Order: sequence, then C-alpha cells, then structure tokens
Amino acid sequence: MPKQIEGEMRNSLMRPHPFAFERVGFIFTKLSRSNDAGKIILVTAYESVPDDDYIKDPSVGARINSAAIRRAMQRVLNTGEGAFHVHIHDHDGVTGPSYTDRQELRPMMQSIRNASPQGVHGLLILSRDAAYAEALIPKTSQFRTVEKISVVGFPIGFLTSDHKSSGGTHRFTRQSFLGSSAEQKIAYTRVGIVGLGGGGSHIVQQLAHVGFSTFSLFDNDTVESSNLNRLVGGTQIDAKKGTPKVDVAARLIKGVNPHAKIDKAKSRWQDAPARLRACDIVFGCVDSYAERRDLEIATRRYLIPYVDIGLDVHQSGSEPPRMAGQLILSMPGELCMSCLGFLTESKLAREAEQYGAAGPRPQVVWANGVLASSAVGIAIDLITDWTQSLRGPIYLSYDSNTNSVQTHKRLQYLVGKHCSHFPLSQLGDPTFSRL
Amino acid sequence: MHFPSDQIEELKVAFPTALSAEEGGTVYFLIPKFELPPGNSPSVVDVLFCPTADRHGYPSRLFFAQQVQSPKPLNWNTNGVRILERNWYAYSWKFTQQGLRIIQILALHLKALQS
Repeated sequence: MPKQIEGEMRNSLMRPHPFAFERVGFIFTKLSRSNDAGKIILVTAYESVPDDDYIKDPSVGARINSAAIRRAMQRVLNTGEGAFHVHIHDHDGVTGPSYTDRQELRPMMQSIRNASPQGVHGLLILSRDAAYAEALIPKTSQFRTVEKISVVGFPIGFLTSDHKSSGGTHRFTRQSFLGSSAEQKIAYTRVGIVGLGGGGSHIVQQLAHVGFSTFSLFDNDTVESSNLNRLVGGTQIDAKKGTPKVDVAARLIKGVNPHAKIDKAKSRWQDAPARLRACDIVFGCVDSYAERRDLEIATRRYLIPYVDIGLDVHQSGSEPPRMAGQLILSMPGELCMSCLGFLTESKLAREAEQYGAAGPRPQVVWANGVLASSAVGIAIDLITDWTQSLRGPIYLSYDSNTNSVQTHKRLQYLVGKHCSHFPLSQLGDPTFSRL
Repeated sequence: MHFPSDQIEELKVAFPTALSAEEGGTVYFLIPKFELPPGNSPSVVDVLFCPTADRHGYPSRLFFAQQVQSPKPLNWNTNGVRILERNWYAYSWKFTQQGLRIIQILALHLKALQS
C-alpha cells in the first residue's frame, strides 16, 4: 500500500461523524499473479463513504446504506479491481474483526465480489499503529488472513508484524540506537539483490551483519579470476571451480546468520520475476542503463523501493582516470530515475549503439564498498527511520578521486516535482486495452 | 503518450485483435498471433510494437515473443527483456526516415524479416 493512501485513509477515518461512532471507507486493489511467497495485493485508491450514506444504528460503530455499497460495486465492475471495506479500531497494537465485522462485513464483501469476481476483496481493519486484513481470493470461498501488510514510503512500515521491542539480542547491542523495534523490522524485511558482483557482494555481506534474514538473490554468473579484485567472499577456489555468484553470496550470509532464509535465483531476474515481486526492497547492482530502467519499472509495478548503485571510470587525454558513481533511491510514488535526469534517451541511445555489449567495465573493491555501504545505510534508515529525516528521493554522486559522496546538484531543482511515468493505475499485472 | 486517432484506426483495421498498454511512460501495442512474412520460423508469433523511443535506446522497436529464424541472419541483441510482465526478444534494426505513420514504422521493422 502506498504511504500516501495510508495517510489519506487514516485521516479520513479519524474524522468525527455527526452520529456514527466510526467511519468507513473502501480501498481498491489489484491482485498480482501468484508467486512462491503467495499472492500480492496492491492498493491503488481509497474512497471514503460520504456523511449522508451512514445510517443511524446505535448497536454498531457504523452502518452504511446501499448507495455506498452500490458505488463501491460500480467501481469494481467498471475497473475490474477488488475492494476492501476499511474501518478503524481506535486503539494501539494488534487488532482484528469483531463478531459484527465477521457477521456483516464478510457477506457485504462477498456481494461486492459478484461485480468483479476476478478481483480480490476483503476487510481491512486498522488500529492506530497496526492492521488486520482478510482477503477473498478469486475462485475461493473462504476469507484468508493477509500475512503481511507493507506501507511503502518514507519510512517503510509493516502493519501486521509485532514490532514491539523484544529487548533486543546481544548480537545487536551496538546498533540499539536504531530504535527498539529496529531489530524486528530488519529481520521482517525481505531484501532482493540483483547482481552479486563487486557492488552486490558488499551489500549482501553488510545486510547479513546488520540483521536481515530473508534474502532473494539474483545472478546468472559464475566466479572468474578477474572478479577476485572486488568480489567479497570470492576465493581462488571459486574462480577455479566456476562457483555461481549466488552461492558465494549465500555462503557469506550463512557464515553470519546460519538461520537466514535465502532464495537463490541462478538466473537473470527477468527469468524469475515472481521472486522479485515478493521483496520489500530491491538493490540493483547491474551494469547497463537499460537494465536499470527495466529493474526500476519492474519494482515500481509492485510498489517496491529500489536502490540503485553504479560505478564507472572515464579517462580523457592525458588526465588521470576519473572514477565516479551514483546511488539512487527510487521510491514508488516519488521521482524516478528518468525524472532525476539520470536515465535519459541519449544515454540509452549511446548504450544501444554499442549493441548492449560495452565490454568489461573497470570496477574496484574500495569504490564499490563506498557505494554499497551508503546504499545499506539508506535502506536501514528507510526501514527503521532512525534519523527521522529520510523523506524524499535520494540521488548521491560519488567522486572516488576526491573521496566524496554528496547529494547530486540536480535534486535541488526538482523539489516539488512529481513523477508521471508510474501512475498507480499501472500497478500489478498489466492491463491491455482494445484499440 | 497519445497517437493521432486516424493512425490508431489504421493499425486497428490491419490488426483487429491488437491491444495497447502503457509502461513507464511508453505506449506499446501487442499484436497477438502476428503472421510473419514467408520464410520465417515460426510463422506466427506474438509481437509487441513500440513506435516511439523505447527504453533501450532505439527510436522505435519491434519485440517478439521468441527469436525468429529469418531468411537473412539478424542481430538479436535484446533477449528476454521484460516488458509488461513478459519476456521479449528483438533484433537490432534502425532506419532514418522521419515523420512516418505508425503502420509505416511497423512495416519498416518487418522489412528485416523479408528474404
């Protein structure tokens, strides 16, 4: 669920009503194709129920009239979306459906489902800091509890997990400043890393140390001796045997956390797209602009924050080589890499002129390390909100010659701009229209 | 991006089953079960047509659901690119003519498949 929609929903539901004790609304959803981790429901919009559509009934918190139900039904009929009835229980912590919710709201949603049987419908019940949801998946008759509710924005939130402090484990005492619930949030986040070479191997190692325990790894490459100048965890034996890079990364993770859950795709991510969809955040450590664009598009489609790092070395004339790179956080709903001016038609065209085979690019371990460390730092801030200041897109420039990382100067000119490339209507599986 | 309605109509007349969808600010036309010129194998394949600058640096592009064995060897330099949640394949093919109608752009891409 986009954070903007969560905010809109909470503000709307917390307004007092002239006579009802609670307020009611509907969120509209798209269902993605299933994957190994289950089904993903993406929230595309929220609509409140107007004041006039409430019925006076002191026996329940709120009762809405048939016009409100018909309106939700009409929308799903027109769009093919699903609908969830939403209301709020005004308390902290875990919440769930009351007897009345079960008895009255489930039949209502089953009825709305008739208008859009291909959509996923259900109930969403919010508390002040958590939520409960149950969904009626197409072609099934039972409501199923939604396992995880992610709110995507600054910061990332998980409404379904118990984030109360468990006191922390000894292993993480030196990072307790991240917050009392940081350990649980980090452990609850599924991270995807695409490209496990110079940049990705650093990222994997740091994520394991900081406490991430669910990984999706993507790389179809094997270790060669020319990788050993930068591949964290890679050994001469790996180069000799041609060990897959995902295996090197998995070995690194398991060395730090033997209980980590690792989903290894010894393939391009394009050949394992369902595994990518299940991630809560994706790190892209890929070589080309086109690959970056493809990965950003795929992550935006499934509301996944994308952290991109890249490094290049340029040399002109007799000047010393210049090594520079970038780090971009592409957050769904915020400016994308095209809006930031990083991905341009001319860059893509120049790359295409080389027929997608630019040859081996210079890479070094220390520069990859700087970018990877910064990327992990941003992810930790995004998940724990420990600085309470990460509230917008990140575009950092790295100059290895001067050992400096700074905010790209272009960002200051983009304040207040909005991205038009990825509207919420394009979330989830693509919708094709007849000409 | 919006295209002139007469050009869309032209495409629709030629390919009544064609569909359109947008991704990342680019409009694509999906033509299911497209019949390729004689001499190509397979002879029928789904194609995805992008009449404007695509996100891989080409001024326009024609993608195929699989690589095609054509009478003339082609440079299939895009393999398994993910667009609209499906993997696509494309050969490198550019032309310099400007101001073409959508259907003319499509025809010029198909020229590569002719013997």
